[in-house]
Amino acid sequence: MSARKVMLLGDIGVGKSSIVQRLVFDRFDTTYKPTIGVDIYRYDVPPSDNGNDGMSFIVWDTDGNFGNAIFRHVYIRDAAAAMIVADLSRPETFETAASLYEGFKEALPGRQATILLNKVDLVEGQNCGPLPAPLDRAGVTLLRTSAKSGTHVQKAFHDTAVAIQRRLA
Amino acid sequence: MTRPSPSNAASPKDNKVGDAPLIVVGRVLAERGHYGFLWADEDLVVTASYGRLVGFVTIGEDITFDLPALVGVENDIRALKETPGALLEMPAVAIVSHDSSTPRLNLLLMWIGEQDSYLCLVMRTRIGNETEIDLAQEVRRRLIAEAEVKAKSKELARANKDLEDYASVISHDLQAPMRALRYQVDDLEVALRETASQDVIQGLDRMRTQASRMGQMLSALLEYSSIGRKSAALFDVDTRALVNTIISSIEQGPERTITVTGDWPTLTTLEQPLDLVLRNLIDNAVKHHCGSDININVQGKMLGEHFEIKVSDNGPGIAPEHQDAIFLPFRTLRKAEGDEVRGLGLAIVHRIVTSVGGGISILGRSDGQTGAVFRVLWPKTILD
Ligand SMILES: Nc1nc2c(ncn2[C@@H]2O[C@H](COP(=O)(O)OP(=O)(O)OP(=O)(O)O)[C@@H](O)[C@H]2O)c(=O)[nH]1
Ligand SMILES: [Mg+2]
Repeated sequence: MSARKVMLLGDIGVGKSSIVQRLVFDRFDTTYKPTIGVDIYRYDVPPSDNGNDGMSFIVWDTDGNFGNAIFRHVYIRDAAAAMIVADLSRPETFETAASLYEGFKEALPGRQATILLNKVDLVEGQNCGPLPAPLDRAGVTLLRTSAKSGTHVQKAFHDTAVAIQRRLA
Repeated sequence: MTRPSPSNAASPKDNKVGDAPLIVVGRVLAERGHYGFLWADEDLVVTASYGRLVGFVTIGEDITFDLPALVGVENDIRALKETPGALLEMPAVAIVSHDSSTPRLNLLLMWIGEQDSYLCLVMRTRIGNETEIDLAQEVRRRLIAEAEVKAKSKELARANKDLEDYASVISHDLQAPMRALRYQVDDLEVALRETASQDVIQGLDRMRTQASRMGQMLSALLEYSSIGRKSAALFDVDTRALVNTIISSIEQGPERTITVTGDWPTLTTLEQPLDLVLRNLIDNAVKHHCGSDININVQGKMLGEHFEIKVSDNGPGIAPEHQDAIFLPFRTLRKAEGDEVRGLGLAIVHRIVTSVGGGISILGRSDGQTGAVFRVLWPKTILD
């Protein structure tokens, strides 16, 4: 099966690079190295018994400053899914995530979009409970992740593989 | 240095550039790693490559195998064949894998009819120059760092509040049993005085000392947690009288000098808190001195809207890296011998001073000697 393109979108510093580094290399760095441009990674989702036969992902770690301009760029072309990342310790990143979510749904209707509320390790006791207002809407797939501890990082991508496969079936 | 010889086949003579110089330039650029060329057949399988920059691309594989940035645009590439002269550009992508990362690359694709192939021109690229990138990164780091500080100070405020409540409850609740314990030790001693051995009596003595020490810690804790809850009555305070009373209550010895210098006005202020601040600062200077020749100076001065108090000692001083931690509860950098170390003195000073809208800082001694100078700015007028 051919590889699928998955975009990592979200405001600067929310942890997009950290998430893909945890996913692909299982490592985490506390120093912040902003991504200027895009970095591309390959990640193979192993087959599992929840309806996923295995899938190859090309993960696009984008620059947080692109904002919604990315939807007019060749970068977004034929993306199968997007992970839209927000930082739980910085509520102002929720707005950006909400607008990127809308933008992605409009640019690529029917494609899988998941919102990742990252840095859950920083906000003790908030790993459940009501969603932040801009993201609290019906039909949004949402996971609380931590690139630092690894919480839900693999799950986010594995669930996406299942969703893509279901759509294609 | 050799000048290019005019007979060099590669140097364009006249204005006509033949194939030969073009080939040379193409080769030089490719060898230096500025450009790389990839050819792919109609099925997008790589058939040939040229140049250091594309050395990582496998011949015979699909072009997306080593250039995964092209996943998703395969149909756009195929469409190039239908439109002569059309280009597809994939700008500024870096491909990261376990052991390496490519430089940031520009990929430019086109159909070359003469060769019946797709050509992918690969170029090294940058988004802005190095200074611009550094700057952009620095700006972002700042933004994120500021956001983190904000989040942390919120967290700290909450933690302080928790500590305050907790300290107040435990210190209050533990004081009664503590007192009872001390009385029981006294009773025991009376009962045993006639019959018990010296060891037992000494043991009881130590128990009493420890119990009263704990009692002191608890009072300190209660004091600490009640700052800010005290009723804020203002009095006319003769600061010179106040500081003298404090000093006379501290035991002075032959090797211990405490001097008072500067101006000490009468202020309409909070007496109890100011007393605590002065007392704790002087106490701290005495306790954390490890030498024998203790010299402490307490200086007062009116400074605009503030009354400045400087307490300087000739002790070991405080390293810059410890200067923030020292105001946290129960922190002591040095265990003072014999003396009681409660570890709340400076935390109390800090809380009081900040709660009245003043400030506290630690300075080095300006006369080159070792020692620390605590400088408090106490507001002349206390606002509600
Ligand atoms: N505590 C904690 N810190 C995290 C987590 N994820 C990322 N960070 C930190 O957040 C900072 C920014 O992370 P990056 O992964 O570089 O953020 P980004 O979204 O790629 O940022 P840009 O490339 O500028 O768009 C870094 O200092 C990371 O160490 C997390 O889950 N927990
Ligand atoms: Mg990044």
